[in-house]
Amino acid sequence: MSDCPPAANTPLTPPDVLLEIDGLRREFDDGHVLALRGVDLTIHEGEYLAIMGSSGSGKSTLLSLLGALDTPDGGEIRYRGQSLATYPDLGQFRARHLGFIFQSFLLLPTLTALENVQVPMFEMPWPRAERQRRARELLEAVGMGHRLDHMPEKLSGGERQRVAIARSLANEPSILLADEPTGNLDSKNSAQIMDLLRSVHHRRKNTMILVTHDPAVARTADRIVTMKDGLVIDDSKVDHSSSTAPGQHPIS
Amino acid sequence: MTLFQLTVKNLSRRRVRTLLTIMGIGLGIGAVVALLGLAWGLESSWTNAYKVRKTDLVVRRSGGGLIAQPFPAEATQKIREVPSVTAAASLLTEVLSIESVPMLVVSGREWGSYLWENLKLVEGHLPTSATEKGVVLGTLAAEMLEKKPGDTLTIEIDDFEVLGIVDGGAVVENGAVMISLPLLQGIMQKDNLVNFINVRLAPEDRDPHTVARVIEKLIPGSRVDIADEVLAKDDGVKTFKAMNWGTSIIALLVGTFGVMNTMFMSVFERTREIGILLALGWKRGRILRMILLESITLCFAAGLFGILAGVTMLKVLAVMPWMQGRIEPEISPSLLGLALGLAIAVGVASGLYPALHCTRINPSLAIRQV
Repeated sequence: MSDCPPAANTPLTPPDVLLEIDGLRREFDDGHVLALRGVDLTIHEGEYLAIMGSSGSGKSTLLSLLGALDTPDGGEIRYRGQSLATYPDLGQFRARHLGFIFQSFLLLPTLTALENVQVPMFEMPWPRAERQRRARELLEAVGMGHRLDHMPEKLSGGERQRVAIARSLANEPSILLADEPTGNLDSKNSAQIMDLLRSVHHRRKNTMILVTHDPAVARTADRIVTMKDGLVIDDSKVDHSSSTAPGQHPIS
Repeated sequence: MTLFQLTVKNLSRRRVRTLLTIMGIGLGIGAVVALLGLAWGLESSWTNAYKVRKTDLVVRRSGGGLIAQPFPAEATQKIREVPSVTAAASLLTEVLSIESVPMLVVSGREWGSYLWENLKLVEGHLPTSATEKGVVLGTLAAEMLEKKPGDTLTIEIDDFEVLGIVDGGAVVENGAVMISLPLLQGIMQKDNLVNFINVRLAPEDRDPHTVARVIEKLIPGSRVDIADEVLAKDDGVKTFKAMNWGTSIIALLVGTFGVMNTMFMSVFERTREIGILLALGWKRGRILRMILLESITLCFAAGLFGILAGVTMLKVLAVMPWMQGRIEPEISPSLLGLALGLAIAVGVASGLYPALHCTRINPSLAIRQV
């Protein structure tokens, strides 16, 4: 089954627009908690965007909706002009177009680093040897080539997040969604992971959407969207003219 | 990495629980193997006995259990006159406690009938007349009774000389005491009564069903079965098999709920991981397949363990004094195949509900679980 429904009733969208978010609402506890109160946002191809806000601002809820992990109570998200609500299989949408990086890494504890990176590839038409080859390449690219057969429990926090980043790239997604990727890391590892993410974005040109409460992490992005009480209260570009060139890792 | 490798990793993370579950359902499967092995063995042991006697039809009184009720021996002569019948032999079969052996088949056979032909002499000699006060023992019966030719055997209150030891070619024959019909009729005070008539048909003119119906008409109140089907159609055997199946089904149901419990515990513990898989784009169908595969793999391993346990139980049962010479447990490929098939069915039945539960997990909520 195709993951793209017919485009007959969908609006024409300029080619550089990747995601359009219109009046997005999400409620919890039978409407007693309004996590998103009508968010409007447009995200372009190749953008590096940080969504910032304090706890309870709605940023993680927005990320869940953008990642098709949850469904909105109102409003619409369109991916390249197609409403997510019309996708027959959101699992396939996630597998083909999205890569996730989580705060707590979320590696499968019984699988080695190499096997963890192969997990998303089950939904791709690649033979086992190809999956293994790709996973090995990705791990080498994030500097984890020497830890291929290590179990997650034997890896440090920074190493686990590197494996998670390799996993997020497994199916060559057009969007990377990172939810507080440095939230469980010390400052040294945080800097290395942000450097790696920036490098990934720089080399692969995919769209990066990063959720964080840390202004320093947010400033690594090109654009910062600030949320409060379920609404976007600020949307501004970041001036990187004084910063150093990103990335030491050879992501290709 | 394949889905099966992932399955094995998931099962091996809680080794003790997995092993206990395998042993639990395995013992259930083992009980099925043992019970069905007995039931099938009972059927095949007696069918083999008819086969080695080259008996085509078995006549008895309608109704009754494994040992049929007696009827007048004159019926045998009437049957001999039926076209296509080449031979008919009267039998009085009893199950008696003899000396130290609690239950032995005593087969009173019409003197001079073909029923003596299949007995291959191992030691001693066969009776020389219908009235010679002696018995012939099957090899197993001789072993159980610890008798050799020349010894004395006491049946009820009468003493008989052990004339010979024979190999009857089937476990039922080898486990029996063979005696001339009039002697057993005398012991049992059933003069001129028999409870089976074995019938042979002409090889070139065999339509056993038609002949059976002719004999049933000729002997009112009789029931005539094709030799291969005697046990299958016997009400006592049917009851025995039904009881064995009933017990087997209960054992399998207990096992099914046990595995279901294990699978539920396993998927509840892994809600977050299943959420991760869904978040990473796994189709719900793949999650369902993974959980089902875990359950089936668990039960398949239990099936192998159960076969081992069941075959061991049957081997032990086969040497029990009350089993020897009457039932040779059947350990056939079809029984073992059935056991594995049932194990896989239990795997599907017990894994389906937990697997369906997994497909309803909300990935957004699941990955937030600690």
